[in-house]
Amino acid sequence: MTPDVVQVRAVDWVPSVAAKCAGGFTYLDLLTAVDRPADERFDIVLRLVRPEDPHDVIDVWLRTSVDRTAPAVDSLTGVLPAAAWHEREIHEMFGIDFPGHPDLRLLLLAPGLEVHPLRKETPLVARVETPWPGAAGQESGRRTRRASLPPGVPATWVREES
Amino acid sequence: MSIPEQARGVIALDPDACTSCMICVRECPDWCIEIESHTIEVTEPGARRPRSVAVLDRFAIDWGLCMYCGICVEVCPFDALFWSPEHDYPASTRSALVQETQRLADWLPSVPQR
Repeated sequence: MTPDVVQVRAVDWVPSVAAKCAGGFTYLDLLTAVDRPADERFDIVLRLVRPEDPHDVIDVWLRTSVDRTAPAVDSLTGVLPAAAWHEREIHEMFGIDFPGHPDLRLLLLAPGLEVHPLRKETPLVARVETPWPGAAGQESGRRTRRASLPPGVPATWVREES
Repeated sequence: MSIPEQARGVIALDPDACTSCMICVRECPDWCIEIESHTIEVTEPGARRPRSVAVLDRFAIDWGLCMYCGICVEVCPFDALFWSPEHDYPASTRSALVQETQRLADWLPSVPQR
């Protein structure tokens, strides 16, 4: 089932979340981002849960969008301290900035990796080294099936196989 | 605790329905399906020319790579792949997580309401 997601403007992001927290949605369940290169934006998605009733999960989904060229949105750490690690992860994985965050150090990645792995344009190196099973053609037959490129691999990275 | 019927436990293969079209192999985000096939010429009675028919030699799923997204089941145009709630197939080596044609076909009886 697709949840109802409340879309808020980036400038209203922190006040909107603060209002939900004040309304009892104090448990941070999920904070992540989605790369939408076709729309030139990142979505930042948050799920909050109201923890008062353990038998009936009452939740709310909030989403905001930031421009892909200079992605930034104010940090939620002021209203939700638990958001700190999530924002560090989004920062390194997507390259989204969180002004107001106390410590945007790398969380999972090794220093010196100059890419944001969860951006769509970042190639997955394993994909280049692994033979794509979809490239296997028919052994014989009058028409050869056109081996289209696997998703996630730039055309120039794939070895030509004839 | 019982497992719901629609649980994504394992994917069963109907080798007779599979036409080796490779759509599942190409759509799989994890590259966990491998198909090997060859074509033969079949001349049916009354037909003017022989027809090329693909024969499936090998269909394998690597459960060590599969993320159970079910895209292969959805894209199969020939209804050759089905979800089964069976989930009990541990292995002690990486290669033993690769199930071949017959093993995948053996799951078919456990597919609900096929």
